[in-house]
Amino acid sequence: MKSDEIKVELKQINLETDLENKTKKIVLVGNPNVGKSCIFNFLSGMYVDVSNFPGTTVSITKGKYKNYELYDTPGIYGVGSFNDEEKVARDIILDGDIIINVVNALNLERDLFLTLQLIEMGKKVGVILNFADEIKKRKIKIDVKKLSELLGVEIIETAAIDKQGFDKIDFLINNAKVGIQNEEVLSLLKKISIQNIPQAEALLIAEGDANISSKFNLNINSSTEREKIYINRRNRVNEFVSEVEYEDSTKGEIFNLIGRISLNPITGIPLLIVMLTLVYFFIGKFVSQEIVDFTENKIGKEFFEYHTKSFVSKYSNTEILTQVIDENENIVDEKLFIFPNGADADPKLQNEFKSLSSKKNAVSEFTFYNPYIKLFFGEFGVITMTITYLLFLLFPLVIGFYLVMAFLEDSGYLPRLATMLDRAFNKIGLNGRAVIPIMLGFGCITMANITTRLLGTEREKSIVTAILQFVIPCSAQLAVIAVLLSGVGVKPMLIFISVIGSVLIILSTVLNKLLPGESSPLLIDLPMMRFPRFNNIIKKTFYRSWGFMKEAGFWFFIGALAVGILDLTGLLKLWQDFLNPLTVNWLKLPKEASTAFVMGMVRRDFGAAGLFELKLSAMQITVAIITITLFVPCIASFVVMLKERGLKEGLIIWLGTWVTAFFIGGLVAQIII
Amino acid sequence: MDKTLDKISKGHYLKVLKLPSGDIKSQLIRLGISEGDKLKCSHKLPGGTIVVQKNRQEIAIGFDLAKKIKIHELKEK
Ligand SMILES: Nc1nc2c(ncn2[C@@H]2O[C@H](COP(=O)(O)OP(=O)(O)O)[C@@H](O)[C@H]2O)c(=O)[nH]1
Ligand SMILES: [Mg+2]
Repeated sequence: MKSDEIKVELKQINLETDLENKTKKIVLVGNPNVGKSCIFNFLSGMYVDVSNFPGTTVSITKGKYKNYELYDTPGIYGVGSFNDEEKVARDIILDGDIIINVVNALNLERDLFLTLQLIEMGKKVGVILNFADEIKKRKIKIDVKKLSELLGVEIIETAAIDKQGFDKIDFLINNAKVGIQNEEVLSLLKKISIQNIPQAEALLIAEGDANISSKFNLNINSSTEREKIYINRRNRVNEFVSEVEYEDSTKGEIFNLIGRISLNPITGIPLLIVMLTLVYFFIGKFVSQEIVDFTENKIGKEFFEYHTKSFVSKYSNTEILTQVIDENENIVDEKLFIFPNGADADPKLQNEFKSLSSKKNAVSEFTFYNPYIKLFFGEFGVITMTITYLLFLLFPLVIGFYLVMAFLEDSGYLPRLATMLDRAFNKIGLNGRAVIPIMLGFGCITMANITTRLLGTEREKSIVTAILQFVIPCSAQLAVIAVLLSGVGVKPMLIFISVIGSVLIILSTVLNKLLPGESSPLLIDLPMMRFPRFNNIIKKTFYRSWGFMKEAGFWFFIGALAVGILDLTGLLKLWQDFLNPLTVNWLKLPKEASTAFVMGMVRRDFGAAGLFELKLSAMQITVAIITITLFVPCIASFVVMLKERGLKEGLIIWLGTWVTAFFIGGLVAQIII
Repeated sequence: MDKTLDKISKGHYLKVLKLPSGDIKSQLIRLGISEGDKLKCSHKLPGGTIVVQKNRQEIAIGFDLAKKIKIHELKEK
């Protein structure tokens, strides 16, 4: 990857300010997975997500092509307001000057529905018939000239993946025009157009789009016109397709072995298990142990934190405990350095510190006395801790997870997985799509919270958000659990899994009953299975990981700041004292364990490390891991959850996890200890 | 034989008689499934999630939605 590509900023558009702009706007529109992003990347030279899963381009991306502004939109099957993606796409289409409609030539019947709608909106349209390579391979013939006559707009053929046919895009842009209008639809629109409403808006109003009709202060509630228009349009599409498409091959069906294997549960479940095992070894073993061990300890702690803290210690009242440890974890040398006026004031001692701490396997623990220094550079310092955590622990993990997701997505496996698990998710008021945020949750809850956006209804978003915060352990926490469980036999693990499983079932059943409305059923298009392109996966992983860090990173800092202030003001200590009796009497754990709960608010694996030294019995370990799993999410996911789901819902979930963690943890303790 | 989509078995062909009304109908029409269409049930998962195939396109339909779609089972293509 070229380094200058990395620096490109993908700008989210802001419709209001862009309205004043006079440059012409080209909007790429099409169903999911038709190659819009491929084409956008080529024209604008910027990178956007290219994937094989419906619903992954959540926002609009703006770029430049020659003198035009170019927009990439999320995939839609029609213009309207059925979901958030559609609303965003609709607004930019209404605002666009030239619409380039990208069509998957393999799926004309599905794709031309949108094409006809765009033409009926009276927009200037040009059509790109993509996937020309596949058409050839499958011996399908499309009479492009005839289709162009039927639609009344220009059509070019491309194979976006190989950049074939892209030389004709300029022709298409220059010759974009209003297509042939349907008399029946036009007459329906006349009623509305009288009131000086542009044709595009009028069509959407006739189709019952409440957002647009309220924009013109119209009160249109019936969607009967929509059905009429939709059926009319669907019939025309089917007619057109039968006129222009011929199949030479005798077999019109897709032969897609892996697709079949992954859907059929007899083969699909073993495939899922194999896949999860591979993921476990890749992320659980390789990334979270080998890589993170190196990045977090070697780069983060020993290099970054050590140098930052040493630098600060030059100027501030500091105590440094340096220990040199041999291979068997024995302390071979140790010295406490005290710099009441900063290390620079005592050059002799400073040199001694430098030489001792630069020895192999030397560990230095800094204690700062200035409260502000402590807030920013101390053990939980906003700067030191957050940077180590974000860049050297979370970043590699997030990259690992996104890499796996990118692979599953591009291969076309994810929607099949969603289909296979749909019924199980129905039981808890969700549909199969929910598998995506929940899977991501095992990596990082914060990341998963953002992904709940792709769910169909508010109700589903609430249920998944709650499940994520209550029961799903993130990778940082899984690591702690794995260490605690090693060497205590299988019984604690079985109790742990059954308790957490029960909480999951009870929680989701209750939410499913309590929350008003209905969840959306699964209705998902299954893209072809194919082997993903390597560089596409790498690029996508990089940009998503980067995007995540940009979106969530700031909140990690805010979270650390909040906790740091609680710590400085003594509130944290107060809270810990309050939790002590609860920990000892109700959870039957040593009182030091309460640190795990207080620090767990910051980072889910924090303080839990303190549990390692406590000599807990197997049953106490069981209670401890149950309680920390059910316990509140880390501060960053808390803040992101508030942002996504609102203050009220976020706080209810957050407080709910406190109550549940202590209630269930204690209940188990009373029974088994 | 007239029935609902959830009752179809794998590999059988069907004709769509009636879709449930409302937004979901519009979504189905957009995806290419409308009343009168001929489809093939290419998979039926335990629990009842249905995958239908229309030409080269496969669409998964959740059980609860399938129950609301009235179909006529066809003997042959
Ligand atoms: N075989 C083939 N694959 C393509 C072509 N264009 C795009 N793809 C693949 O289709 C998938 C979806 O592409 P993308 O640009 O993300 O589509 P978008 O959802 O419309 O933005 C990716 O896996 C691409 O590699 C093409 O012309 N031929
Ligand atoms: Mg895209």
